[in-house]
Amino acid sequence: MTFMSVAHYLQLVERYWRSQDGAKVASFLSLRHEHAGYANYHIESPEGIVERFLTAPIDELVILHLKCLFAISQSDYLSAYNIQSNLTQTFTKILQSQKEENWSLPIMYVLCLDLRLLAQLAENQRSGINEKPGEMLEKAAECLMGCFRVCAADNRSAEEDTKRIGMLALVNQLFKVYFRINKLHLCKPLIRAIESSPFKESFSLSQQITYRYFVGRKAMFDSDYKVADEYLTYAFENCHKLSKKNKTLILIYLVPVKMLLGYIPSKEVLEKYDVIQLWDLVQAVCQGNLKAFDEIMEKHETFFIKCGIYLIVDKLKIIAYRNLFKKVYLILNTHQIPIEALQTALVYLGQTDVDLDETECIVANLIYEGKIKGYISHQHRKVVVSKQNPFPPLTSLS
Amino acid sequence: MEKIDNYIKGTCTAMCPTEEIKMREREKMLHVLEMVPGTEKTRQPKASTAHMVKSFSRSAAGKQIKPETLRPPQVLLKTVKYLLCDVINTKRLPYWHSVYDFITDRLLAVRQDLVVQNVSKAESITILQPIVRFHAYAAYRLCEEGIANFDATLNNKHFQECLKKLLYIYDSYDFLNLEIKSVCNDYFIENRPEFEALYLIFNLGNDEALTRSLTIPKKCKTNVVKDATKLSFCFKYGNFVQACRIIKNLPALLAAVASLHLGEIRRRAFNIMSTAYHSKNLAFPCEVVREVLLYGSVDELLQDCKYYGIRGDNEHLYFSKQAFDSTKAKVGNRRELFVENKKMEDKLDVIILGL
Repeated sequence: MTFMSVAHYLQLVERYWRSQDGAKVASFLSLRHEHAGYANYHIESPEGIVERFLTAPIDELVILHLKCLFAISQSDYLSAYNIQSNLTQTFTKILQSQKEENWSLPIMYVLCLDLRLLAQLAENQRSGINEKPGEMLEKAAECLMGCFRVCAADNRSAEEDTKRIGMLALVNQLFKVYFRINKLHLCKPLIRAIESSPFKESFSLSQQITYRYFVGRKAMFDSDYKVADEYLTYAFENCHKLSKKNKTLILIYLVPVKMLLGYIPSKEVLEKYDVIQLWDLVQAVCQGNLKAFDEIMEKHETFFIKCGIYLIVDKLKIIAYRNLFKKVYLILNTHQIPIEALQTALVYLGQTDVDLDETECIVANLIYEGKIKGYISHQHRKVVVSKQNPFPPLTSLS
Repeated sequence: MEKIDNYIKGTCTAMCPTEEIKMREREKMLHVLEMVPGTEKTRQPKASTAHMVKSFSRSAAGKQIKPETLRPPQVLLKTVKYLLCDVINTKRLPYWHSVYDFITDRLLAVRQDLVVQNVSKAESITILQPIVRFHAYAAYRLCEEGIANFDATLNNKHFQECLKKLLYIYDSYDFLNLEIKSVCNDYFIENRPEFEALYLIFNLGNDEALTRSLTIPKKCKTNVVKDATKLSFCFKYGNFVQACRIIKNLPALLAAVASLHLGEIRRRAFNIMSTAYHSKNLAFPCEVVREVLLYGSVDELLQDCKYYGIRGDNEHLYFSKQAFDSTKAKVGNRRELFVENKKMEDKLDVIILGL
């Protein structure tokens, strides 16, 4: 089986490059385009044939692209990565030299995405003792930053020709790298660049959704739940309804964030997007059922870890404590709750190693966070709660 | 698939290459611990060959590394043992921070030789483990020193670097094929839980460290790792009562490293208690706080309270929301009584070399 001949392919590339059809050239330089799979494109030394059809600067791009395809066909991802990195850097220089035009941005998108994917493959292929994990991805990020600088610095061109419109796609790629190698602090300057960009609203919707998804997740890790809620909600509401997988992905983070802010998700939504694992959790937290909570954490441990939400979900336990103590308060119907009563409830719900001092400590934290209004008397071993609104609704706290 | 062939192999059989011994003797660059006793004060101190240890020098660009200046793994291990078994207990220097400086420099040279030769995983593990323990121990032992004598940040950097590298090797060790593993008989990784716990405790409350502890293989999750994980969660959630309880019962070295977080734990505890026990008429017994927060004495406790603006007498503390001074940074590190009681200094070979 063959695709079109390489000669034909080169002629087309030449024509599209001359007519400045960025999208078409991009697809012909993509590692995921149909041509990439055919053996006649896996050429170890393509210089000869390419030079017959193409001139500078596009010739070099195509040469590197074909070499990269060859390396991939040999399953040599390390070499493939290095070639693609070289290709991206060569392209960056061309992009920089193209003043007042931005038709080639689609090429940049494709090269950068391929670069990141290759870096991931290369990452898995190495195993020397001195190599640091994430090194390949870090190098890829540097390369992406090169493109980003060219785009960000283009402030002379007219609005319709500016390369700055390419910034968000790169930022999203960089986010994916930084999240994978766990270097979230590197996202901060990128976020600042986008938030202060005059084109903030002009980026394509899909890019904006990706962007807000990542910024929301970062805010979540920084315990900035209000911002996380805002960004993830935007992403969830604007994500196309047929992209169910993406909606599920967003919801996995949005649900714990909402719950920490005191909102309870509906069962229907969780069912609709296949995250029913979270429903048991919602119930356990609402009921203050710590025993069920612990069981769910253990049962779905792998799922929570895989999604990267284990730590934030675990934090919901604090809310479960609050709800449990509120129940004890309602049952005893007194403003002076004996610590012992709270401890009994904790022990009954499986927290067997908790003694009076630790119970006091948990209550102290809740008071400190404003989740209980009142104070503790250590001498009397009692929590004295406020006559008015001793357990203020969580949504009223910020 | 380690690419062994591409790396240079050392041939130096002594702790210090001959070339360096001559050079440093000539240039009067010998450390007191490397001189023949009695010649220290002379104009040209003599090198005691058996006590010379290769010193650290930055690898300069273009400088060719000669095999005779590199020590193979067995010699590196011997060097580490010499430094951490003999030198560490030396009485020839008046201050231990000077001993620390010497050892740290020489260990840096060991790590350099390790990297250049791409030493095997098993050998790297054996060499790195005591180095990590040494930096952990020094972080505690010198925690009261001023910056002129001991740079805690720099030590922490060495500590973290070696520890992360060690954990990375453990991770890749998991993927080694079974054949090699059966030869090694898991001897090299049997200490792994200790170092997983050390990583958690050194990076207390850190999300990345916690996530790691959740994902390491089940067989590594021994009780000490479970305790360290729990401790980290308690630290994160402000549960100072349980946090301190766990710290108190940790093995000596882990307890020492954990105690370096006490300043933070206590500051937060005082902050929380100032709100939760806020009252005009109520008092909180000092003795209870002392015990909960692991203070060596009520005096120490009162000293800290005064610093944060909390009123107290010998019997009671009087918490008040307004009194707590949140502008105050945490109190500097102390050598804590409950750690001192574990008497680490008397059994350093056990603690650091794991003998």
